[in-house]
Amino acid sequence: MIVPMKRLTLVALKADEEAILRALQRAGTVEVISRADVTDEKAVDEHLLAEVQRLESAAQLLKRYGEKPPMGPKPEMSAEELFASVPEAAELLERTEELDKALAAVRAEIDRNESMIETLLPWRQFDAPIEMIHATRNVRYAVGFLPLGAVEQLEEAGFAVEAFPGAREAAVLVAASASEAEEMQRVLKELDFAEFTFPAITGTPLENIRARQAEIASLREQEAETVAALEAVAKRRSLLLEGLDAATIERDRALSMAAVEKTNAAFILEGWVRADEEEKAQNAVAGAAEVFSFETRDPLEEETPPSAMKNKKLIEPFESIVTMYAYPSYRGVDATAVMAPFYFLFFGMMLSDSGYGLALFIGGLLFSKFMKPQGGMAKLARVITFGGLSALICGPFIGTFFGLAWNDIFHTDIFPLLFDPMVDVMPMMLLSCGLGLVHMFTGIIVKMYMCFRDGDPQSAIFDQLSWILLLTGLILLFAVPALKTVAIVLTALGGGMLLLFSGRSKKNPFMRIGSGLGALYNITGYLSDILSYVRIFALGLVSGAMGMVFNLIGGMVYDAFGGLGVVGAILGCILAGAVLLVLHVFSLFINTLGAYAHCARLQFIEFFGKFYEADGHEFKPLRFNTRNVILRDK
Amino acid sequence: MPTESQSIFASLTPNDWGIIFTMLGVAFAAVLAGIGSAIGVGKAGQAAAGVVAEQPDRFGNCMVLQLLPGSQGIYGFAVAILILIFSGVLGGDTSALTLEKGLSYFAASLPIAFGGLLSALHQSKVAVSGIHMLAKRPDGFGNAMMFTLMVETYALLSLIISVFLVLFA
Repeated sequence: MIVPMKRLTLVALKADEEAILRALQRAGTVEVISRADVTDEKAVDEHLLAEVQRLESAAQLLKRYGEKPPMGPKPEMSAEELFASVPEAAELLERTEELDKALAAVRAEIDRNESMIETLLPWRQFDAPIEMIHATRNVRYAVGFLPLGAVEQLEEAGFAVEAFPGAREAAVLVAASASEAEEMQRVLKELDFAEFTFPAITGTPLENIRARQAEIASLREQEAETVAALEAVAKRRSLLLEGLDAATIERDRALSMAAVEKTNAAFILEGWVRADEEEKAQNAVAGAAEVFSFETRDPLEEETPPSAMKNKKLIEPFESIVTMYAYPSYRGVDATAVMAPFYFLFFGMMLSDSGYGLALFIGGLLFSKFMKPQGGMAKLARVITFGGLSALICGPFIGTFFGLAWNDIFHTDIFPLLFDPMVDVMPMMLLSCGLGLVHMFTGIIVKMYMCFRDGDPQSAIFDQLSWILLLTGLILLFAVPALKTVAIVLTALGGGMLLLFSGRSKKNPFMRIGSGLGALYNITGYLSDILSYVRIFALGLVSGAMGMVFNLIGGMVYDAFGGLGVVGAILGCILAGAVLLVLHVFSLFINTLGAYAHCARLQFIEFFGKFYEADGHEFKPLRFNTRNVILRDK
Repeated sequence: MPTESQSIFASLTPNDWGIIFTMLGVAFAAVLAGIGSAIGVGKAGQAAAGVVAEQPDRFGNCMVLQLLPGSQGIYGFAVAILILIFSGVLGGDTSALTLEKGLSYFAASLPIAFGGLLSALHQSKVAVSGIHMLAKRPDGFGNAMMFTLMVETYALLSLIISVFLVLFA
């Protein structure tokens, strides 16, 4: 069901604001409504926003330096313990950022030295100090690179050349008397000379290269030290994550505080509170302040409160399927309860293998128990667990056990108890479509309920019930010839209602019949919806076929060792076992994914399409939102 | 040489032709649908890698979307196996495979071969867009998956017709 909401107006002293919001956040029951004229970001201490960002990027950075954290649930702690970690986390953050900066500086320095070496490398055989190359009164120099062949031409032209040939071009130092300088430049230009300027250093190139190499070596040591320091810090990364969660909590509260209207001495908080948690919220405020006014009222017609769902523990996990589609409209219905049994059944029929079901069921239970997933993940895990249970149950009726036929296991001929989809194709298809019809009728009935609730019985009868009559009539007409009269009456009744009353708001009789015909045309939509349910049969068939084929392959592997006696039998068993394990895990994964997704599709398109009003938005109370730790006794 | 090849074909019995067409059907179902899925999963995988490079925690959702165009290959594979089993090729007894039977099995492979190939290619386009959407809207996974699954319906319909044809061949 959808939880009723109350509109809250809380007025209290500004001096108590922080304490009250802190208490409300701990209680986690109130969604603060932003004042329209407040842009959140501006009114909030930027330091808080930056803090979250910095912690996040530091945690991301340390991920590279630490070992992967062991599999397991997130740490559990109380809110006090979480906040107690803040100073230490801040220290760790400083240290991480410092080290990161230092590492970047060292690496930049290494890069600079390496590029210097690269620059000087062509000149390593030049054995005079670089500072000696400068124009004198009588001599001009040109320093640069020439294509390999061009060096000789330059020598022939009568210039003094010192050349150090490299792989593709030669580094050359050309000297000429001052009077010939221009001539030299001209010749060089013709020869594709590329001028080079030495960096501002002294000593021979080789000396410089050696010095840089020594420096790089020491820088590398520094780099290694810094990395080691980062690795040491990364061991305490979980602390940083706790700090991140604490900072997120602080930021969330600051954002809410920015949304609150203030006068000189008081503040007015407008918000939504769940009707069933009103008292909890009030108690929280009472615990934090003495002077306050806490007033709630039912939402007005024109207001759209946020939607929160509440369901029995058993079907609660299926909320995750519903919210994957969209949050229900506050004044609509929560589809979880009506959807859950169908999802459960269809999932099992699509997977249709008791072995796979067992694996999912046990795996899901273990995952929930030992990994302690939170929020959406916890619900998803339980949906899959239920799906496994369903497949476990469906297996004997229409399926297999790890791809094996039940009859082969128990040496009977009574399995599958219902039908074998590979043999009784038509019955299996009819079963799928029949269940689909029930599913769709359920959707139509929910819509009828909604129409009655909203005081619109005409729509319930003429637009909804008419379809049930028409479809039932048509099916009876073809399936049960004995009930021909009943079938014709039902068809005529349903069809007639649609034809005559679909356009009941229109005065013009022709227009009215016109919209009636338009409504009747929707029959194609219903037929394609029904056909869509054959996917239950198809996916069941695929998972059965895959399991069977994989067993065949396993058998072939085993048979391949058949001629080798006992050793062969043992080897065959091991290898076939390994092959079977890998293949079945693959098959389980693919088929579970298929069942999960296609079941959801049947709910979203074929079922929700009939009634679901999905324009709600999620109820997001101000609360302790932690991603990296599990908070105890909130 | 024409005369020689004529004699080769002339020496084939209707039973041989039946086996040949059955095998062709098996190959068609597995290969064409497989090609579609391979290309589809490949393209979606590239897009997913791009998104995960920036946002590593999107991995799970991206992988699910990447895998969706992969089902056609599996459907094709399943049909191929069904043909192998029902035609008796896998059991070793192919004596009942007449030319008509062989052609029927061949025809049975066509829906999933072509339906699978083309639907996988188009599904992958939706999957790629969905993965890009995830990069911008982390909560859009459900929507992206549904868009991608819309295409899957037609692969499933092809699969069902192929299965029917195999069973009634």
